[in-house]
Amino acid sequence: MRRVNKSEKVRIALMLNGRKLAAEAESRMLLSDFLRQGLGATGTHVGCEHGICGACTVLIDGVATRSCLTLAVQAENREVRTVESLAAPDGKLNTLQQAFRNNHALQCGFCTPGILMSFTDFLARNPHPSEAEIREVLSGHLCRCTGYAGIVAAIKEVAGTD
Amino acid sequence: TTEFPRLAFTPIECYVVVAEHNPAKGSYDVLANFQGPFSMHPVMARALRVAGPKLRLRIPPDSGGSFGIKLSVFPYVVLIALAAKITGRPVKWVEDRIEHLVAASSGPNRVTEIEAAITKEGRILGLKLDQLEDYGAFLRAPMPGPLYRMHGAVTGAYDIANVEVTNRVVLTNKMPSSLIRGFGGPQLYLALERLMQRIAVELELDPLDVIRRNLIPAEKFPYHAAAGALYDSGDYPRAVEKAVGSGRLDALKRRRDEARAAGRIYGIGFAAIVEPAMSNMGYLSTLMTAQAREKAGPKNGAVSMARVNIDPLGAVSVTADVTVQGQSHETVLAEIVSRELGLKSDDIEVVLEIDTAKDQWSIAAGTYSSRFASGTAVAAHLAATQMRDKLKGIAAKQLNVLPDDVELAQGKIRSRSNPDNALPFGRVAATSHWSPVMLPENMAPALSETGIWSPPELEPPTSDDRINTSLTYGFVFDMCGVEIDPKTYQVRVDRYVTMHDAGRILNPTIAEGQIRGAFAQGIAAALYEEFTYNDEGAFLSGTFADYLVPTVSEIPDVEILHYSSPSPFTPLGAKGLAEGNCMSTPACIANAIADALGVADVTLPATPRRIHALLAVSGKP
Repeated sequence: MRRVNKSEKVRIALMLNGRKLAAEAESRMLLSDFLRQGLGATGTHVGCEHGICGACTVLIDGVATRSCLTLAVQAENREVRTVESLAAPDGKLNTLQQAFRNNHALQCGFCTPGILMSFTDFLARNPHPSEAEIREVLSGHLCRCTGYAGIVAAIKEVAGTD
Repeated sequence: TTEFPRLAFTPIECYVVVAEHNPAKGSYDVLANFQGPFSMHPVMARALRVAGPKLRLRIPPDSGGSFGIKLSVFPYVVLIALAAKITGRPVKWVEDRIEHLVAASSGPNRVTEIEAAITKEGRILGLKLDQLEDYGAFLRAPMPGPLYRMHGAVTGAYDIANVEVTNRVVLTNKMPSSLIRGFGGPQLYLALERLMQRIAVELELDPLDVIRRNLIPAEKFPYHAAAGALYDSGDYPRAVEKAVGSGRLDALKRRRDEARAAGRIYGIGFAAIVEPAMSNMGYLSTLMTAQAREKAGPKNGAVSMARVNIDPLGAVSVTADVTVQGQSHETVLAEIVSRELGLKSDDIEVVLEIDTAKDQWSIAAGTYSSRFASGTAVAAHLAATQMRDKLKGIAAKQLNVLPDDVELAQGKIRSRSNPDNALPFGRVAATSHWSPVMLPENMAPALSETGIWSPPELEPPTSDDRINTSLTYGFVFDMCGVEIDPKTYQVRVDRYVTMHDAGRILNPTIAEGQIRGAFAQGIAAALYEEFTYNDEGAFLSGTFADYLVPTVSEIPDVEILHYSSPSPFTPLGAKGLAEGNCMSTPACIANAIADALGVADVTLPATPRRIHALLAVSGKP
């Protein structure tokens, strides 16, 4: 395991959305801050910095993770996926994003990136969940605008849930 | 007596300020996710001791939620601007969640003593309110707004001739209070609607009948409420009958009876409220004496502004005096403007960032008091019709027809009587850029039209403290059934029906989104969210593990119904609807809990701890 002194700035390299990127960071820097400030990937939003709101959720090696509860050094040499990876390069939304649009599943959109990433992971493992399962996963996220109904409808649309 | 809790709707994006100081000009350039009202701009400029134009405040085109809370970024605008001046560098500040929960802004908690003079039949003759509100550590502008925003409408949806109101402000060591969605409405209606339910219990009447007996009859509209509000339109009795009809109330009663027969604890609640929108900027001056008002000069009205611009190839863009935190203003403005110009919504570019140095704005600008539907949307409609009429004049000359014979449709400007005589919209619209000399006589070039909406109904307070606090007044009627778990003491909302009369609905999808969002916040206030302090004044809810924001699991389903009484006071007929359930839902649930437990006082949020205490009082298991 790599040892890092607390006073030392380290260079952290990781795969971000299929591209190998690196930047300097202090050992205590959070992955969420590293993505936004170190790598300039501001699609990941920070809402609480203590793991409750879920806005900062990203995939690390395919698994949904709170980037505010992860140190940047922990992501070294790993594969990180953020909301920027979802739409096609020409801007065409993917199925999940389009479903959010179809169902008025976002208003301000600040919590949306984290929800999209949670369900990118969940639907990959469980493509046809029940509504109860969808609600269980969604309960790991806070949205203050929508009252959640549109979000549930969007995910049901993608999953083909009755 | 009712007690409304201290809470905030904690936007997921916190405050952000980026400030720069220009020492040569002595000016500041600040970017902040401020929501308005822009009556705060002079407050900030004076705090910085500069003339208004030397504080350039820019608002980004999107912000991650607000719900009233992002008014209170304004002290930080001043502080970060000063930091930039002192350091000689641009300074950026991003508030974190702990800072936000400890010190950003909360809605005030209120203790209300309410009394009514009533007939045996439950008809209210007079109402007396003593409202005591806790504004925390500082009374910041525009406080104590929540005590006055509802002032004209203090009698709610009821025809009550006499009213006496005493307002008291207290300061404590808690975080300062300020704007929040609902702004005074939730506190008022908790008291008023609990009173209605108590009247029914005392007189052994059906609570719904007490509501029915006191609702303002349809023929009295426009209605002058006792404290000064001029209610524009409505048919409250019919809206209520529509909501309880189609078997909805019967089904609710059946569920209650079945639950009670099985020994479960179940109650039904109602709430009927009036939802004001587009505030009279003079309402706060009601707190002064008439003599002091006279000395300070009149304050009243509210101006809305929007602009429609034409580019050199005839493309249309729109700017307006609102800030955006997810309300879909762009969509609605594009729909309004495209309709007048015969274009498609997608043809209209709506740009809603605000730059106080360059954009049109008044002190009323911003997004608050549901002012969009009855304010800015109207201004955009006016700007679009002004532009349409000018384009008709320009086209008439080019088509060789009379202006009255010109219509704008399907991307063309054409003769009504001979649709083949047509020009592309862009061709006519671009005339003012390329060929202004060829415009009809006495017409100023149609490059940009500003719609200014300043409704005359928003009069100043009268000498006896009556005021028409808002321009439009919607109506909301809610009913719900709740069941209380005898082991966990949790309140579960079993059924919830909400009926809205917001006049003409501008966009049904967006209206539903706003209602569902407000409903979730109403549930939050009723059952979950509260800033708590211990007896020594230490703050106890500084994380989202302590301050409980509802997740999807806590938000029950809601049946949304509409009744439409277009406002006669605005050309669009639309009223605000984004705050209604923040106002009605806490009261409706409190009434259902009171019905379930047979208790007189229900303190919100009705957490399991509080329900446990109430169960001890009621003697139920």
